[in-house]
Amino acid sequence: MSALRARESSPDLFALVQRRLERSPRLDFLQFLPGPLNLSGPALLAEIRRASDAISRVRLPPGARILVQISHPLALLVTLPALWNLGYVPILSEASASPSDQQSRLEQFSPHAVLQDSQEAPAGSQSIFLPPLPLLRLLPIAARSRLPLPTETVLVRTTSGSAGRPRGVALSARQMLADARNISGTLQLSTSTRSLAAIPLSHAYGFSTLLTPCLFLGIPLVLLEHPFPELLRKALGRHQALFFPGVPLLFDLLLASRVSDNLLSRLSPAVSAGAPLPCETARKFAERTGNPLRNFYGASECGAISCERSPKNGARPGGVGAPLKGVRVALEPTREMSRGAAGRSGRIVVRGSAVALGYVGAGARPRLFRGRFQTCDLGRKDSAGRIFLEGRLDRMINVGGRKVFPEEVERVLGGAPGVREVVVLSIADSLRGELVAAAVVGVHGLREATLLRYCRKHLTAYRVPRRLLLLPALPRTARGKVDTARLHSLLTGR
Amino acid sequence: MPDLLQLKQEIKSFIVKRLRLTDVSPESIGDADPLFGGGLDLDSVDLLDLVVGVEKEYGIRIASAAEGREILASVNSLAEHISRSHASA
Repeated sequence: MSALRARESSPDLFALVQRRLERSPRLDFLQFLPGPLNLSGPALLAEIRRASDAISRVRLPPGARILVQISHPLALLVTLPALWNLGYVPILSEASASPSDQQSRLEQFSPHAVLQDSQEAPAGSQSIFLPPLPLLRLLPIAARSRLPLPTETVLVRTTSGSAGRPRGVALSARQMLADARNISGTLQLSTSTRSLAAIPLSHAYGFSTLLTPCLFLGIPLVLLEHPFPELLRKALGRHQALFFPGVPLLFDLLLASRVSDNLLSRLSPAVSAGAPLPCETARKFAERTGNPLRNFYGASECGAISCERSPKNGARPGGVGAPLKGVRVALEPTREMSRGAAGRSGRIVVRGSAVALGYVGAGARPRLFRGRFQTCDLGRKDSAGRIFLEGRLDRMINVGGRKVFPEEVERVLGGAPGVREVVVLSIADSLRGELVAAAVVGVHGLREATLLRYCRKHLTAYRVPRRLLLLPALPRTARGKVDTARLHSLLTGR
Repeated sequence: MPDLLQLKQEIKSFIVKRLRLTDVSPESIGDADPLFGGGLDLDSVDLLDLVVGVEKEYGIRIASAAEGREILASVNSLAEHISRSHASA
């Protein structure tokens, strides 16, 4: 449907990358560790052209959609612009997906080919050998129909959708560039600052904060193969200050590591996203480094939304700061809020030029956003315009017709003495439909009865967890997020 | 420094405690069992947690994925590496 248009806009994107890299002559524009490998902008561009040449040996139609499953950060940084150079549309996916997830992505996105850094050579695949990158494989895929894309699509991000089916988010070059500019403009990143990449570039967070600012705006980058403490030491030993986007789990591990406070203080500015930032983690980071750890908020569908900008550690539960430059945030009333906090809280709706084109999926017409993305987050603003997240509309628990926001119960339980972490979920109930259940990690000797007494004192009866489980630690996924499926089985005993 | 046998037992307890493997007993981990891609079902977060833990507990600094794969392949490989590095210290 729009392959021709997609082909027309892609070379512009590559031309932008080309101009930026040609104007970045410093020899260490890109540093890869453990290498160590240093590349100037023009040297990186030469690698991208080599990758284009190698990929072009496989015959694919103009505007081909390529499912990209590359875990190696340098390989991803090189191959994405190489695909744009050829006028192809990358569909960015997770490399560590299980075989069944990979199959599901093939069905959902019907790509012309899959590009992966697998060591095994699937039948019919072509090897792409670009030392020192891992061996890449390009596997053409036969399909009756292809993914319909909105006009101007140059990239499809995959994100977890409802009912376990991945969703595609189509982006134009203009939107990716706007997102990179919003972030760098707000956080004052420039060609004279440098960023440290320790999170996956294939996820929206790393893509927007690290990959596109490097390629489109010429912001120098230190790229780590893995966020191992020894590699952090090497990177931080070379630079006085590095913009560092991380996730709470990574900050916790770094604070528990033997990396010195002096080196950690060079992670500046440091931002956290991907999961709620515990106040305790932000407090420890600020105490140890003298710098704030800023909560950062965004979504695959609209890029970065807001960020804490206070020079001191001002982390407050749910606080995600004021909207970034170029982003407009409105709170729209929802039916669920009409009885209680209407007027103060509402669904967070984002407008701006970084909002994606829309959702895409095989066999379905794209669902367009038209510059406005309605999140599933419920929030409020304070008098200074700072946003506070209050809950997820799609996490709401319906207890016999009464609405419970798990975040509210989590806030109360999180404030109980001895509680370290808490997750509240819904479990099925034959009478009420749903019930509130909680998993808690706390200090040794913490008792379920004590916590329930605390809840009864601070929550109305139907919000008090009917099932409460004390755990030594929360189960987590490979991405470091709480494994809610596993938690649900623990809570239901199934 | 404990002997190799004792060190292996210590490492197994360390892994179970560090990664909070509530349903795994140290005794059930074989000396040569692969730590990743094997029965323990460890993922990339566990890898990072283990790398941080091994450095803190045993002073072993792992600087690349290749080194990590070699050192953390099994209890045997980790014990031998710790033993060698302490002997040469």
